[in-house]
Amino acid sequence: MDQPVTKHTLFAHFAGRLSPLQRKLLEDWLREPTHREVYYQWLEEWERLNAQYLAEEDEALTTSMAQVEAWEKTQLPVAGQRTQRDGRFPFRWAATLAGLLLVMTGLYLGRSAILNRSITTAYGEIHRESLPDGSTVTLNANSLLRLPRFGFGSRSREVFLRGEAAFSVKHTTDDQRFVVRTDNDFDVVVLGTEFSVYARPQGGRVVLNRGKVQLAYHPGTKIRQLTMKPGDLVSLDRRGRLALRREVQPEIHAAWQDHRFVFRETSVQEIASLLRETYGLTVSLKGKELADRTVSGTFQATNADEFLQVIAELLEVNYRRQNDTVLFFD
Amino acid sequence: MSILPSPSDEPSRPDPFQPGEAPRDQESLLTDTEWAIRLAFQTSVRTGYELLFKRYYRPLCSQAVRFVYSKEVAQDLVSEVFLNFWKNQAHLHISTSYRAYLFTSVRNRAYNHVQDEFRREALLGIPTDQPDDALTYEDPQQILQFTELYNRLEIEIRALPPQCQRVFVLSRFEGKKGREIAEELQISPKTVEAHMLRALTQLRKALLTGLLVLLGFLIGG
Repeated sequence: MDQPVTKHTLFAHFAGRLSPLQRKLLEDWLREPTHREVYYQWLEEWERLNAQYLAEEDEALTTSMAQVEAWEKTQLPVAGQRTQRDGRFPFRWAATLAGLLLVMTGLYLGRSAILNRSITTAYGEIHRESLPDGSTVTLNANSLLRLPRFGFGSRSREVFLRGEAAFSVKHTTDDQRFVVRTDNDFDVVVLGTEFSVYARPQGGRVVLNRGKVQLAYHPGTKIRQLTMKPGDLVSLDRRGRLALRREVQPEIHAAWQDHRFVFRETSVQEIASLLRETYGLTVSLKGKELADRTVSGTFQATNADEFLQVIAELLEVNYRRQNDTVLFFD
Repeated sequence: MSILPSPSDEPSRPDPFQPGEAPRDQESLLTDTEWAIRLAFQTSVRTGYELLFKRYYRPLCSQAVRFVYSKEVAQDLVSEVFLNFWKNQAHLHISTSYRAYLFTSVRNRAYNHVQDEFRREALLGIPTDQPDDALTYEDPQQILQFTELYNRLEIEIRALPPQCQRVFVLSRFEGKKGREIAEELQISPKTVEAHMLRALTQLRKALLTGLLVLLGFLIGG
């Protein structure tokens, strides 16, 4: 049986009757996020079967709704009410209301597209954009930057990044914060400075050239703050582990802006993932030794073919490209 | 006779599971059980909230009370979690099921409560500034340690002398006043006080050493 942890195991754990070996199995099993859902599902079931007591729920709900009402009153009125009150309406209004609801739902679901503007780059494309507040951002290939259509610079300066970008942020007279949010468990908060952010599925990286930035790092449920100095490089691996080190040449992390590539004992494996991110190419390697080889050097390449030619020369291997797949072979 | 309801003292119930039975459909099961609540949230946040509350309030209180040993505190903790769910419009943000969010948040708060009560330092080596509400999952180690914390508390309370245990449960779990307990058990108020002091000292000591041993064992193993 390939299911090491059963409901029986979990029930024993909830009741405090688990052997150390079973506990180890359980710990490994919990690494899988879907299993954590199962954990709480069975915890709920176990609590229902072994309730310590039955709490009075109707009264509690009434109290809770009263707390909700009280809290709602303290909130400023918001256009397009956040909660719909349930009530009795005459039937003839129902259709009108349903229509209205549909429109509002549409607006609500499409609110991101209405309220935000997205700038995207294709594979191999590098794009420079001036933001309304005077800051500039250079977006690397296969990246997305989202910023509010209205009020950027006056109310707040917040952008969302997926991919890689270099920012040159203008310091405002009122010391307004500039925030870069990512999907990678971290946000970058700055006043005015130059830095680059890398946020892709395989990890995250922030390099600071000038000024000072604050990194809000939030793996899981925790939130940590980290202040970076010029020359600091913070990287996050796929599993959310954070590392800070000094980067002697921070500018190499901005080299891509000039279509320049800098490799320092960079493994072929890493280059393969760079090719995937930047040009959308899937790389396969013939021969195991090839993956372990490294490349050092700097070169310029404005498209995938130039890149492939140089890399093949550096590695002294041959390659064959077919649409979006590349094969390297000895 | 033990005052505490014991999980294993329920022979009348049919065995809810077959030992060794593998839950083959666990994933499809998971996505389905909350769909009605999810749907309700889409049309009316209030209806969704009410359904959510009715569905999970009781098991959450039962879970919380294992940590805090007071019905009142447990109910307050659970209500706070629900109120925060509303305030943050958590149904729009969570990446887990409602169930996982609610249980995790209640356990976080319960942990913070126990820790405030018994020790100033972190009990389990888990940072003291444990955020109250969880939008994503905790790590496996922490999930297990939270469950083991209430297991530990139960073991310690069961280990107390019977009279001391009775006083503790009446005082904490039922929220009875010292005088009421003295009357009910026909002992002097001073004795009630002494029992409470003993129970709390014992728990504090056990949590300190017991969990260190537990932690050492985990790291060593």
